[in-house]
Amino acid sequence: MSHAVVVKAARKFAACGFPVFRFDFSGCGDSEGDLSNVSLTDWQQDLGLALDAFHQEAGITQCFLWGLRLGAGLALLHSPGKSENIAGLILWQPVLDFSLHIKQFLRQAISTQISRKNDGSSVPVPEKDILNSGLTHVIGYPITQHLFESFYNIDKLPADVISTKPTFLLSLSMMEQANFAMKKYAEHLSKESAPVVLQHITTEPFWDRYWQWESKSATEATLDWLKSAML
Amino acid sequence: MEEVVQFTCNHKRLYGILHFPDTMIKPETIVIMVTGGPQVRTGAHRLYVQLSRFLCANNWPTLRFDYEGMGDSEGNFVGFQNLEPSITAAMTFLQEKFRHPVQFIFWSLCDGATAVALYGARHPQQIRGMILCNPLVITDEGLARSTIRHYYCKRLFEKEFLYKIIRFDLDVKDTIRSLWQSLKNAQFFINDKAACAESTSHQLPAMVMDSLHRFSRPIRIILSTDDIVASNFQDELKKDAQLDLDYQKQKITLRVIEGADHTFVAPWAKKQLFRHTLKALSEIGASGSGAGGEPS
Repeated sequence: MSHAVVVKAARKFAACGFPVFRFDFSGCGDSEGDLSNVSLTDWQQDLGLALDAFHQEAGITQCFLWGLRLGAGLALLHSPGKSENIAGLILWQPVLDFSLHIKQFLRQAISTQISRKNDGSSVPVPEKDILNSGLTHVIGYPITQHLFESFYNIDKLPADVISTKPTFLLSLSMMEQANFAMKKYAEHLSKESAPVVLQHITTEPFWDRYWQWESKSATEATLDWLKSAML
Repeated sequence: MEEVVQFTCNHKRLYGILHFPDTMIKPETIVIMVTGGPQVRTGAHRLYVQLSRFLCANNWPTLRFDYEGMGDSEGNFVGFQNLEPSITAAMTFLQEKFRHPVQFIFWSLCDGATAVALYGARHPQQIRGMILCNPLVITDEGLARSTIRHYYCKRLFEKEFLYKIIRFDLDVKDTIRSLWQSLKNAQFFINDKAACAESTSHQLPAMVMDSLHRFSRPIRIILSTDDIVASNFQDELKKDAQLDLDYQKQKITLRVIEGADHTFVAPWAKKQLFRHTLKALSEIGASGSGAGGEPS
């Protein structure tokens, strides 16, 4: 659902002199593999390989890692290990608590099934499905026990990452300000003298919405930050 | 082999993925997938990715692409009513790529299927057949009729619903409000001028049915039972007498997947869809082997 928004933002960044490399993790989008055979560990490796490929193909030695939601959380986790190649982090509404995120995703399955059934009969509980059979499906996506546990293994680690590189934390929600977790993380970075900018934009969460093609405000805010980060 | 392809439509770059069997040299027929709704070339829950790979593994080369304004393709969203240039561009690109006459079978879902139905009647050359899944022909009136027929009437026979009535557990006000709105929209009240107003969308069912009749090659329709869009389409099909002969000649056939929803989310529904698609392709067929081209 966020594809069009990200594409348009990437084109805008490129038109302003910032080339962008977008890729799909294993088992996602056009990439090979199936979601039933991957975990977050695979995706962390994918990120490293993607960066290597980008360095080799484009001859660029330093990159800003730009992530949306789970991608932003994974970008954060990647940054300490490879900090010499990372120029900065652009994190759009990052997932900072992976356990909570997967729980909320599974709850989506329940609410979708309840709205479909509409007769008050019980719906299967996804976590129980995973424990009993090792697999459940959420809106057509297979969630294996392996994938599920990899979220719990990471848990709140992203919120502990202190990146020494410039970080742009972009909060995107219908609330009037950033949520508590993001504010707390920004404060945590500031206390450690890590260079961080937290900006909030009141907007629809386009990653949860169909029929939304771009987010001009998010794109422009990010571009402004990128230009200032390059000075 | 999977290849990223790029071609031009209305001075805009469109992007897609061509799935080509490794053992094939020269394709005779290529399946082109036309997406529906707000979906990109991967489809809801990667449906098109998985279907393309499945078809390719069964020797059917397949192109899935983002039409103008969608996904990675340039431009602004154009809607299913304006897909003709994108579809033509995809066909032209493939003809030029393989430098010999290639025929096409379209696989499509929702308003993508609507677009294909309309396109096929206007540009039948090179189209060997079409597979239409849950085509969208909804108007406000049609939706209301289908909702009453397929949802409310079905509910009256459901044990849980009857128990709710008996136990006074039904939100009667809400149910009546919803049913009343559906009845009003269903033109049962001839004085409702708003419901009788002419609009382009009002003509859509007739345009699609006429297109299906005028397209002379095989049409395979796959419908889900747990989908109001499919139910509405089935209602419109039944109303159209000129299609009776098409059914008798088996130019048009209908397959139903019980319990499947609009995008075949459940794994078992997806499997059945893939099976029905393969069977439909074989029926439409391009070569003696039943697959899409000349093997190496």
